Amino acid sequence: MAEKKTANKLAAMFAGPVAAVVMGLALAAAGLKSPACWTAAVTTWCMVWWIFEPLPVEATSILPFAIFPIVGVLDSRQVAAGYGHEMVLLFVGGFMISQGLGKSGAHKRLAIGMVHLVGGLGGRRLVLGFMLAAVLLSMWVSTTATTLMFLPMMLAVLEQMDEKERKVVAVPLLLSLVLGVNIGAMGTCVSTPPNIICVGVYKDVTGNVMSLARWMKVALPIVILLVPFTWLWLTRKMGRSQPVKLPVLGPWRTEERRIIVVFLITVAGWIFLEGPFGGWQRLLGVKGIGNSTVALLSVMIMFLCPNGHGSRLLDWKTASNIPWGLLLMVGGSMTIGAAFDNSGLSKVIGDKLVGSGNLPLFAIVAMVAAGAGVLTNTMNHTAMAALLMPLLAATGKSTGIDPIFFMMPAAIGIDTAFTTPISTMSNLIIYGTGYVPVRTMIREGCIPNLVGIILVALMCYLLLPR
Amino acid sequence: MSDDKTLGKICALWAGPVAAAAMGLTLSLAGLAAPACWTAAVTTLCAVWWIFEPVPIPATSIIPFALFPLLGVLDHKQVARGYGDSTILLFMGGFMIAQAVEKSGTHRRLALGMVKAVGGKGGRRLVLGFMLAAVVLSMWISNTTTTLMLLPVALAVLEQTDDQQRKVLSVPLMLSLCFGASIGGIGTPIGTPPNIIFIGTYTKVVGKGFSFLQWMKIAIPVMVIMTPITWLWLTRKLGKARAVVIPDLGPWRFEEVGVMIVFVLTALAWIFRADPFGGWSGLIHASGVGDSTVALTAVVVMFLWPNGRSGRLLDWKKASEIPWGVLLLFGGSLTIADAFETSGLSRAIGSSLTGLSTWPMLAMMTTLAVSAGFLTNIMNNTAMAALLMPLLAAAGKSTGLDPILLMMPTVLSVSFAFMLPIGTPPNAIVYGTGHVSIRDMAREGFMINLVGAAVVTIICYLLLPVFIKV
Repeated sequence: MAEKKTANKLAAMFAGPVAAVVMGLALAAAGLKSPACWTAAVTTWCMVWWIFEPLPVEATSILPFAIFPIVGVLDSRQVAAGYGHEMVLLFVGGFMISQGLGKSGAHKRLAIGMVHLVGGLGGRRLVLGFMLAAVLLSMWVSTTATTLMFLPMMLAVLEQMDEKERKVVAVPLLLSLVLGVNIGAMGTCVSTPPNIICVGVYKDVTGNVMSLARWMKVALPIVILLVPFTWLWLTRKMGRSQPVKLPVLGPWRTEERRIIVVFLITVAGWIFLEGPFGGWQRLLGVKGIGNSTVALLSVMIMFLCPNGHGSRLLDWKTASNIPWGLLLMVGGSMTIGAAFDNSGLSKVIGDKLVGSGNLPLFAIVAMVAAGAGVLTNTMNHTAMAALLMPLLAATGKSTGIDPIFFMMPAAIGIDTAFTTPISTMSNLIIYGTGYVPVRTMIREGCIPNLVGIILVALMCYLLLPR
Repeated sequence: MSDDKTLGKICALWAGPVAAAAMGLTLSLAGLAAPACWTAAVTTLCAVWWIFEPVPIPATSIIPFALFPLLGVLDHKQVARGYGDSTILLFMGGFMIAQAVEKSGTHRRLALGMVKAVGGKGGRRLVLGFMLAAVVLSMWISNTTTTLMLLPVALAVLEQTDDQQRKVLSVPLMLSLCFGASIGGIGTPIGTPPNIIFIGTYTKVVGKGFSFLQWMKIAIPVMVIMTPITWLWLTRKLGKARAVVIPDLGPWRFEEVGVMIVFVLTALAWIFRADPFGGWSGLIHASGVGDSTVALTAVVVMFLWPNGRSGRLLDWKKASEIPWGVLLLFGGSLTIADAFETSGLSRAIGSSLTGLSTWPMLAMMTTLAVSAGFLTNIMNNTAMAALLMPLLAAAGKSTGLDPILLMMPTVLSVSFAFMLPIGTPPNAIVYGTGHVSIRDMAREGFMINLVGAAVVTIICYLLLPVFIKV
């Protein structure tokens, strides 16, 4: 057994570079420039290693930082910029908040409240309750913030279970969060970057406004169909189970009360950052505040606020337990995105995706949705949207078709990339809990991904006004 | 005692915001724009908290990231960029390489080899052996690790001596470890965190790269002069003594050889990256390769290289033990440097310091080296560099001087904490053995601190002008 495992690992280790060489040579034979070939090769290499884990994923994440400068795709300062993305800081802040909640034990109270809210039931119903909450919230709030918000509660629920039950529940429960927030985000054009970019670019290029109502008319049916399907799929192996056993907690302690207040303020800070009416950011008259700022402010407050028995709500020892290595993975995926852009590979892909404007409309819509939905599993969704949208808009314009037929399937298609930790921050955060290995994520995510793409193609074709 | 300490912490906790408010109000009365005042206030807050540590240093380092966007000085994307500097990746890589060295035990073999070769005869030679080992190793791995690793060996050697001899030998031997580690730390950019903060800030503010070799051209002479002087001073009362037995480690193991090969290749790749004649990166036409690329490539190689007992030279568990909090501190410092520039605070500092450029260079450098060298005895080295580098870069740039003239003497002196156990972890470790009292350390270290300031000043004065011209 152990030897077989070692042999597998060894095979996977060699498969990475081999696949990379094959990919690179194939593209070079197809006439692509060398930076584009290198980018594709390195991405392939990382994907193989990320999926089969001959090395820990964190170690694999170092690859893009090391190789891109050597092969001349990006220089050493450009790769470092990937590590200095605001998402990295949000990750630091969000996880430290989680640590703070965990230290005081207050996340248990949040979890109990949440379980009560979804009816106090266990098993499949519990997953459904959490999933619905995640879907509804992430329609309006950033998916990352929503994930960070629910995660401590879910972990607390899992902590209550015995070993056997946890094994059954952990994967569906945590994945219902990832898929829930990503599906919810499809519903509006205000909460997730791909949709925001889509609407922004559409307005820039055509002068038309894609209103929230118009967007929701097409997108909401997708959400409504995809949510129950995904729930049934994720929970297919769960039988009926007992209602969740809720621990009886004593009276509220000072530190619990304080940290809950800080947490609620943080959540409010995330939700009302930019809206309604410009949000609190506008009230203060500053523009540069992001979700990362809110998270780090909250961490600062936790470091300073006394916990009622001689120390603080959060100490460095607890805070430094966050999964630092995953920062490298966030950075690595940003770097890959930058390399796609810099090497011209993204342009090639975009051209291919929309190469033939004289195909039947349904074929175009389906192709764009499928291409975006599959490719986004290999890179960060925001980067993907940023590079696809302008290309699609231009193609639409030149072929005389309303660009929204290219752009909206692509944007919502991008949101269906559920399968790898690198496509969205929510995926990565869930991966960071250690309950869901990459392969499980792929196994559970690929069917909803596929169904999502089909739904997107159908709905966009049927519901977009011609 | 404990109550006193708590009280002190609470005072420091409040002193931060109060000092920040005072600084901000003063500048705003002086007519500076709001962003500049906010920048100064936030920097003051960080300064007070970094110095007195009412909250842990990495926690304080989060402040610039959180407050600058809130106050409208930088937006959240700009602050994040401070954390994405290639020097941070270089240090991350360097730390991980050091972890692999530690995991395999190669550092112990190297150290013992050196002690044996030089110090087998005992007495002064023995101290020299330990000191050289400390200097050479701490160029590449952290000063603290170096000291921790050599300490048990030194203690074992001390036990072989009789009471009378031990009385004379213990202080020089112990101090040679921590002083050696501090002196060696300045030797390479990755030797100790302040060096990296200097390079990061300098690159950011001046816009010129700063390679491994460039750093070593200035720092190695300082190191080479300081080592024998320190040795002679510490051992001035020691006579000859009988030989001592150094523990034997047996033949080289497979993983030690592997680590040694990767490590030596990495060091060579760092040193000859861009010089001479364009270096190897010029040969293969890879102009985008930086020192961080070399470090991270070495890390990947170590993750893959088998260690001969069904593991690898480096695994993620060991690699992830690097001090991530220090990386946050780097980022905080670079963000402060950014805010200085963007908010216009640098220009304001420059115009109030116009007198500076008329100072004789030697006087200026001496002042910086002496004050930094003595202040660092009561302050954390890294936090001090994080604070001073943005300030000096701004001061230098806006008065028309090359900032390196101010920054280099300071950053070298910041590592020279020789007098107090609290100055730097190696001192604290050695003090912790009980063989060295604070009085011993202060007495012996005072002279080294003075000499250090002098050597730094002279080398910087002689070499920096040449360096700038090139």
